[in-house]
Formats: sequence, structure tokens, C-alpha cells
Amino acid sequence: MRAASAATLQCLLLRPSARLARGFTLIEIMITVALLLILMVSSLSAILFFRGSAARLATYTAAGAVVEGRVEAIRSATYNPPNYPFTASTVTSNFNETIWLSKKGTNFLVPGTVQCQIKPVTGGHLVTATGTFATPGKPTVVSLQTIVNKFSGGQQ
Amino acid sequence: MEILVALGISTLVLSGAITFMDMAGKSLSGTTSQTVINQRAANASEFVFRRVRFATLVSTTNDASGNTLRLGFDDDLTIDKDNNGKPYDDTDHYEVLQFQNGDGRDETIADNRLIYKPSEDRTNFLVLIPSGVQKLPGRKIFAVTNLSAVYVNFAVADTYAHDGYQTCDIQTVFVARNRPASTNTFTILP
Repeated sequence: MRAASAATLQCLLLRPSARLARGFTLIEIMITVALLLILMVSSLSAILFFRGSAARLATYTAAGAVVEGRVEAIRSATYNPPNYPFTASTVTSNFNETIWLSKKGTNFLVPGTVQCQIKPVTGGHLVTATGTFATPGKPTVVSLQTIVNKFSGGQQ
Repeated sequence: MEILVALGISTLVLSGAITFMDMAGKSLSGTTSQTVINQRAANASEFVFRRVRFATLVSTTNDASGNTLRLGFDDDLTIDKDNNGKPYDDTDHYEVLQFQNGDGRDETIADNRLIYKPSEDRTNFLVLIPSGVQKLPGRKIFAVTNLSAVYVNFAVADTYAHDGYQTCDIQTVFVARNRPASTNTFTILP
């Protein structure tokens, strides 16, 4: 009886060290690596998404500046209807523009068009400037609108 | 044998993780840089816009390079200083927006900056963009036409080369509302 108890105790004491000596099985390692890969891929897609968002913001900033310049020029034109460009019918003008400076700083990579529409409405003329730029994947569109009348051109 | 296999797998996993972390770090650094650049470019552009709009005089006088924009302002709308019948279009003080390169070369963009002097006569200035200001191909930073339309063209680029290349370009036109000549700005633009 006493000998049997001693054997059981010895077996219990040896069990943890025996487990350690056995190590991990191939299946366990493969599952760990697979989990790690899933984590990496999901993180990578999130990072790529961040990069895309930041680049898109730069595109909108550049495109917005171009469109704003056109609106500002029209807002500052002498408002004397029906003289051009504030005529009795809608006037549309297109301007070719480019954005996205290349890495070498010698040229622009993305072409686009800014369409300016000056439409007579009650109380003045409605100016709509829409810039469409051929960015990779999906085109970037920025649109600004304002009302121009005899009070908006500033003092001259 | 088992130890060798275990070492091989560990090396594979570790090298993958290190490469991933390195690329992820650079990518996040580039994303942050891009965001900062966007903010700097847009803020500087809007700042120039605000000052030009209320200026009574816009010029790049004595600066054929187009690096300096000089703006005149009327400080007292009740006094007609130049006796032209318009009390709002005088020039009582001048402000300056200036592109500066630290080493005399525009190509080295790390030390290129854009500053604003609230008074031409004083040495105090505000740094609008501290570094990375780049000229656009074939264009001046500031160009004035018809005494009223100010063309503003510049880019802000990332000067830290290890995290990719980020840039944001600004090409716009601002017009002084208190312009002296009665000109139709719309027709003179290209």
C-alpha cells in the first residue's frame, strides 16, 4: 500500500516535466502561424486603408484649391449683367487642369477638367464649379457653388 | 532534427513579423506625414487667401523670381489718404508673404519655407510652412496679374525619404476685392 502511494506520487511529480519534454506538435505550430498570418493580413489591409485615405485627402486638397481659384475669379469679376459672363442665359466654361506633382517635381500626374457654370437665378447668378480629376481607380470630383450679385464683387 | 525544424519555423515567423512591423511602421509614418502635409498646405493656402482678399494693393514688386508677395492694407477707412475719392483703398501698411530657401537652392526642399511678415518694416514673422515647400514646374510661387489676381502655386513635400514620398500641391487664384482697377478678372484667366 505504502509502495503504491509512493509510485503514484512519483508519477504525479514527473508529469509536468514529461509534458515539457514533449514540446509542441506540428499542428499546434501551424495553427499559431495561421493565426499570426491572419492578424498580419488584417493589419496590412487597415494600414493600406489609412494610406489610401491620406492620399485621397491630398487629392481633395489639391483639387479643392484649383476649383476654389476658379470660383474666386468668377466672384471677383465685374458684375454688370447682362454683360459677359453674367448673361441672361447660362454660360459654361471648361478649364483643363492637372494635379499630383510627380516625385521628381517636373510634371503633374493627374489630368482633370474644371467646369464653371454661371446660371441666372433670382437675386443674382448661381456659380457652380465642378472639378473632375482622373485619379487612379475612381475619379475625384470636387464641386463648389456660390451666388454672385452686385454686392459680392467687392469695391472697385 | 526537431530542434532544427523548430529553429527554422521560428526564424521564418520572426523574419515575417519583423518585415511586417518594419513596413507597417514606415507606412504609418508616411500616412502621418501625408496628413501633416495636407494640413500645412491647405492652412497656408487659406491664410494667403484671407490676406489677399482684404488687401488694397497686391504686387511682387522688385522680385522677378516670384518668391515674395507684397500686400498693402488700409488701416483707417475714414481717411482718404491718396485723395482719390475712395477712403477704403489706401495703403497704410504692408505685409509680406515670402518663400525662403535656406541654402540658396530651391531644389533642396528640406530647408524651403513659407513665411508671413505682418509688417514689412519689422523683423517679426510667422512661419506658415516650416519645411518642404517646393516650386511647381514652370511656375512661380506668387504671380500677380492685372494688379488684382494673385496666382499661388506651391507644393509641400515630405523630406523624410524612408517612408515613401508624400506631397500635396496647391494651384489656385486669389483676388483682392479692393482692387484699384475695374477689371473683369474672369476674362483674363487662362
